Amino acid sequence: MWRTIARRLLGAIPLLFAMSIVVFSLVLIIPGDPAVTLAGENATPERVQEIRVALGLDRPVVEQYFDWLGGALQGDLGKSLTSSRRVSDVIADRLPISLTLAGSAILIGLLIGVPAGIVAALNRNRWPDRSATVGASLGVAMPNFWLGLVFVLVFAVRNPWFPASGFVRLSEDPAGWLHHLVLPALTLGTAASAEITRQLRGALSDVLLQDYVRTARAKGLRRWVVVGKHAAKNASIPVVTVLGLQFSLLLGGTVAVERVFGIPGLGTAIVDAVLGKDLPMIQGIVLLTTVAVVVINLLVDVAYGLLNPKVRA
Amino acid sequence: MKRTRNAIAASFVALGLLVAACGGDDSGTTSETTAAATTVATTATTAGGATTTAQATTTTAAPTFDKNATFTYGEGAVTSLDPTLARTLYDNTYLYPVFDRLVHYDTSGSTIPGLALKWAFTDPTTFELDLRTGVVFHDGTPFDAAAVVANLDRSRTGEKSLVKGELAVIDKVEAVSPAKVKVTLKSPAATLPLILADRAGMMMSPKSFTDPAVDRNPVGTGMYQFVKYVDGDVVEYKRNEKYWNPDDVKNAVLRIRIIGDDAARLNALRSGQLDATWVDESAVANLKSTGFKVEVISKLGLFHLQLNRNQAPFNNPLVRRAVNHAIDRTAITKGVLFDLAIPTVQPFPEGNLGYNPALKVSDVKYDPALAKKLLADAGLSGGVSFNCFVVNTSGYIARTEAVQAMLAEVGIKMNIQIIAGGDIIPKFYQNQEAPCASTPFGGRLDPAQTIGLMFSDTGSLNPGKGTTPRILEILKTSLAETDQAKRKTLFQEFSKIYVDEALNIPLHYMSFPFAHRDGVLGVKGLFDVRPFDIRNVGVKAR
Repeated sequence: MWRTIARRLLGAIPLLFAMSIVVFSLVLIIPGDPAVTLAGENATPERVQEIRVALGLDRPVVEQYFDWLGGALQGDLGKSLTSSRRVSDVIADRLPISLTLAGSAILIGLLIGVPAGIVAALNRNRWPDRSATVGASLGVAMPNFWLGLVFVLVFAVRNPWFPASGFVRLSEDPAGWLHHLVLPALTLGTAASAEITRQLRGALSDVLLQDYVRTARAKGLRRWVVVGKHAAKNASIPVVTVLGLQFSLLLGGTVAVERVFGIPGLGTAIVDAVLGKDLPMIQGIVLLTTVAVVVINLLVDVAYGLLNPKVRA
Repeated sequence: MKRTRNAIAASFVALGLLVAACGGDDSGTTSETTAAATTVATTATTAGGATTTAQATTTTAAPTFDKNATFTYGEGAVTSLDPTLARTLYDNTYLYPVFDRLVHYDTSGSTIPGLALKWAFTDPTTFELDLRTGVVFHDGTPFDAAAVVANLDRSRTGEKSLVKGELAVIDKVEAVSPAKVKVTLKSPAATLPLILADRAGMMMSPKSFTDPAVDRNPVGTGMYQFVKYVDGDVVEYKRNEKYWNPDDVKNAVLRIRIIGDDAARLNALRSGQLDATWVDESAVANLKSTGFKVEVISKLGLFHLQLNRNQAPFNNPLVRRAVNHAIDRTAITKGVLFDLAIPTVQPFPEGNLGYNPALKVSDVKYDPALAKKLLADAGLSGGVSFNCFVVNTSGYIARTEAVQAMLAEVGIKMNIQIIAGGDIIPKFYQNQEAPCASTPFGGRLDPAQTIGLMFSDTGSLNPGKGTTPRILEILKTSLAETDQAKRKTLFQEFSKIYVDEALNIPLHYMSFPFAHRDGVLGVKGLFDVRPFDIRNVGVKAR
């Protein structure tokens, strides 16, 4: 097992190095010049050039890249071009908010998706299955920014049960935190629950037709023991894959949902950074997100090993 | 099977209960305090009380404010809380509460005393200001001439200062006495008082200059004292108990919520999280029908087709005039802007020094036949085409598409090129990649600033640098002239040239609808682009 993890970790190094080049290069193709943006509305071309030189943007790209990479390896992602803050400080402030949102969405996805998937698999081709399948299709099809707007209109504007925007930290006010989290987490969690329902239904339906399940039933085991103990473990492998993918997708999904709900997370930070051409901030956040996706994939691999001994071999 | 169904049903019920349990009062909503209100009859006081007719008009109803209230306003992103680093006019909404300027201006755009009580040009290159005494910064530092010298020197020489250009005309700033400052100019600049009424004239505590996080921890003399800035969420202030005009400060706490998305900001207002915010024109009718109040404030800026007059086809005045007559401005303001904007053919709005009352929209009438004739006179009866940049904002695109359809009717093919907001300066002004940009212009309070930026041979917002000797003469004379009546004549002459020569093709003045819930008093915009003036704005006492 440990050898598998070590192998995966070693494999991640060239991947991250390649990603660092892609991340750095991405900002070079973003339209617009950060010096122009920073120079403000009344700037002369001379002033723009002064700012370009002051920021080191006139240096060769390779030199800029290795400077940035050297800093990043030491945990220094540089300083924002548009404020006095360090990129790492901004990420430290904002990341917990986005992780909370994505984590809550996964929780909602599991709370809805697991029971719905099991019910659908146990009632294949009957009305609970069809309802779950239709619901899951809708959940996957609805864009989260649209769903978020609908939730806001119904549950914040028309019926003022939840706040339409904003975020409260758990440490400041636990009740306010939960209150502000419900609508955005439901918005993000709907697609996740739909995907989990679909995958679990498919996997469990297949497993329930296997010989060992029939044998277990023939032995007289209770139905919930057969499903919960024998079938669910094997059916959970594709669900774990989906969970890993969903977490990565949810991190991306927070960009739209944070915008709709005015939440000051990492998604809002990157939108502001792109609009303000804040290159170090864009690079820092994208790099961090890339690392997060690599780590999540690694965890998924480890989970495979735990669930299926064949993978460890 | 039945047990399974029951279990699943129970799961959904439990989730429903969890969601329901999270309901109730909105802890994030601004609480209008129920504490006994101190009733204050609002008088027509403004900064210094001089020429403040317009502000007086807005407050003569003598409403009763809840002085313990928290007022919450919604605004888009803020770039910096350091006035020398802030990049857009919209940042002023966040800066005005905490920073006074040397010179203030009222809702009509007239200068009124701020931290300077009086100012005058003693000769064309010497400007003197008499300062308000007894004022202290929020950190206790006294405001005096030394503080003004320190601020202006920092603003005009600071390595990162973005107001350096506006103050480049200053040669030297000296403290004559604790309450008197002398500014020596390199050349005449009658625009200086209005330059000092914007970010370049905002006074920070000199002690705060050494704070490495000064852009997030502002210290001024303003009516509200900075409390906290949470990135992407809120900037919060509390009342400055020592403010020199306490009647202007109507709330105990001011919160400006940072909400970048227009729809999210609108929903925050509609759900009661905001007391006021600015909204898109398309939202006005619905807001009014649901009990919200909307003040549509016509502003200094305008929306126009800005032309590069040194590039074909707009190097030909006949083509420019043809475009002018091919556009039905009234149809655009009615059809696209819900009749909430005022059409114009001249560059300055009513009330501004450059406004020429003789130049009416009807003088440049919508006349497709005349447009076709002008094109034929230019030798382009077979038609002409050009590229035009427009920033990727739905409202801007809608206006431009309306223009595109009108121009097509007279044989002018307009190719719309949609670009990112940050690209307009490099693509249009610097690299001159197209002869046209369909774009808003924020405007400047002093017409000489606009002429210098957009119509002089050195103007940074004049692509191609096309100008005429007479325009340069008007600019030079107006900068040296301090008699406002004489300047007015000069600027009105410029406006006539602008219309006759179709220097640019204006569509309408910019107007911003400010929406607020019932019970909010004094909402107004300044004579500027969208900054919200919190002075004398508050919540009605219950």
